[in-house]
Amino acid sequence: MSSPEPLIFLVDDDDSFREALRRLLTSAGLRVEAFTTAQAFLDAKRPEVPSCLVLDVDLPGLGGLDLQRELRAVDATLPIIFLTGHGDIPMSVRAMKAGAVEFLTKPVRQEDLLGAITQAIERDRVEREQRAELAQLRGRYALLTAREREVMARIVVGLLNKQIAAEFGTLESTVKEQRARVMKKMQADSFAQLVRIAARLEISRKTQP
Amino acid sequence: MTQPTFEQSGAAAGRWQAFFENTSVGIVITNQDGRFVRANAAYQHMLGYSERELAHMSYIDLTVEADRKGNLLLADELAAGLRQSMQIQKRYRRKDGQIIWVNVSGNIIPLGTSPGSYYLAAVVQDVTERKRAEDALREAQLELAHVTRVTTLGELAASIAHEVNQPLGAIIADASACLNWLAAEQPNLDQVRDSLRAIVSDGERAAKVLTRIRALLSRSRVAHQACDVACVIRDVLAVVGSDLARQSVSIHTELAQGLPVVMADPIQLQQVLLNLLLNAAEASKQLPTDRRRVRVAAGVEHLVDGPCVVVAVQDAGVGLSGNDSERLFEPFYTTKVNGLGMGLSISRSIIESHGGRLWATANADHGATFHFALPLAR
Repeated sequence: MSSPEPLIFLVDDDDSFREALRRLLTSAGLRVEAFTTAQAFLDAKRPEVPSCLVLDVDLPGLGGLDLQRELRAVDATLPIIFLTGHGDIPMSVRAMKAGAVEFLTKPVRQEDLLGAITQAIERDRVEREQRAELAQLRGRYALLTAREREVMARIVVGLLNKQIAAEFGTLESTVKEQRARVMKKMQADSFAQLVRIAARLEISRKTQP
Repeated sequence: MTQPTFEQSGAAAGRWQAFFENTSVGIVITNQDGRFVRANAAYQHMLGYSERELAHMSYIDLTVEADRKGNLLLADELAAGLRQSMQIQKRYRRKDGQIIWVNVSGNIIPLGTSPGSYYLAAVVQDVTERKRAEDALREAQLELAHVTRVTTLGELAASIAHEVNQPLGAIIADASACLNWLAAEQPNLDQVRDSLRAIVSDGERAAKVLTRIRALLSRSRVAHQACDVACVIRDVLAVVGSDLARQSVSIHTELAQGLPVVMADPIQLQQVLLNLLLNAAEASKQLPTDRRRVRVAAGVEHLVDGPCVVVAVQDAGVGLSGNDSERLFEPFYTTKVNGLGMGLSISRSIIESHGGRLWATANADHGATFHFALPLAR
């Protein structure tokens, strides 16, 4: 899978500052999409590529922290780098607690900003990969029959074929066949890998009696 | 010295003489050329010259050069019968060289026998002390206005810093962009040029902010000059705008096209507007965001005192409670926790020193409107 070109979103109401930042990020070889208001950004369509948001705290109307909250409701993961004109500590603590990557004070040094952006993009890339992988595992799991799911839930907690057969009142050889089908459909090479997959899918005896 | 011919004989003349010599105001009689005919003791004391010395002088000799022309003009009008009497405030130079301020009121005394010949009689009062006190009061008022202006700006420091910080941030970003472009093997000069242009305009923007602030911080008295009120309003909004935005207060301006000029000290007008705007923001503090609206309007109105430029600052805030709309303007009257209560009192004295008026009205629905009217420049 070729890694798609990341995209930086920029929201700042100050025209000259926003455009200067756009020119700076462009000169550093980054792709930028800039917005004047938080609402304009929320209304825009965001492509499925690793991205992050560089956000002015002091936006009129819907403020930076408001946008962070709104964003959490629709897209829990987009990393945010906050910019502020005045280093207000309580505000930065709130932003960081709500998951901001960085809280930088204007005027911001290129190294600090680019460093934060690299980190944010990396975080988003990992996040997106994990999400894609999870979707893939869910797809495989969907192919299992009801009985195969019951067998899988029991295998991964360490029950032996013999024990499972006794519980279901079937032959041990039947369970063995079912187990082989589970391994194949879930594309698991080993017992250990199946256990990991089950953990990712959060499968247990509780979710799958 | 010739005896004034109009003096009566007998007891009446004696009383007149006693009054003339003992009164505390200066009384003089001069001939048509301004030469002293008589000068009482109070006048001699005021100027430091004896009556004998004065006999060889005219009142013009005693008047400081700068005030002579105006004085002679009035005397000529008096002589020509264009006026019955004259009043003038002018400066004398005493024998010891000291300058004193006097109020003079003069009259013609015709010499009945020959038409066209007359004496001048004048009552002269030393007002140096009063003048000094007035000057000191005016200085104190200017100083107080300056101090409150500086205090207000101190409260706005965070937002002023923000106003300078924004262009600085843009300059640093653009300069870094230039370095990035120039580091490339084939530097993209068009992009470098774009960034440099932006740097120049952002530098100018920061400088403009500082110029406005420096003007407000200055202590010097600016002579009244032809002033465009719309310009004054825009300058103040540039200083205070981001502070109001931070408090989510939105500003709506309605400035009439082509407002006539007024004669004013622009810095003092800015101070009044600054004060009214900050009060309006303060009054809006507790309101839901959609009601934090301040309207600034300017137009020409024909008031009792003639045509005026009227500026109105309207908020939708807590309004004027009951009948304190006049108390508002008293010194040290405040409804704010941290307020000093000088803002409106100083604003009113500034507007009144411009021959204008400042008053408050309650809005029909919410909040209050502060108006000030300034007479049009003639």
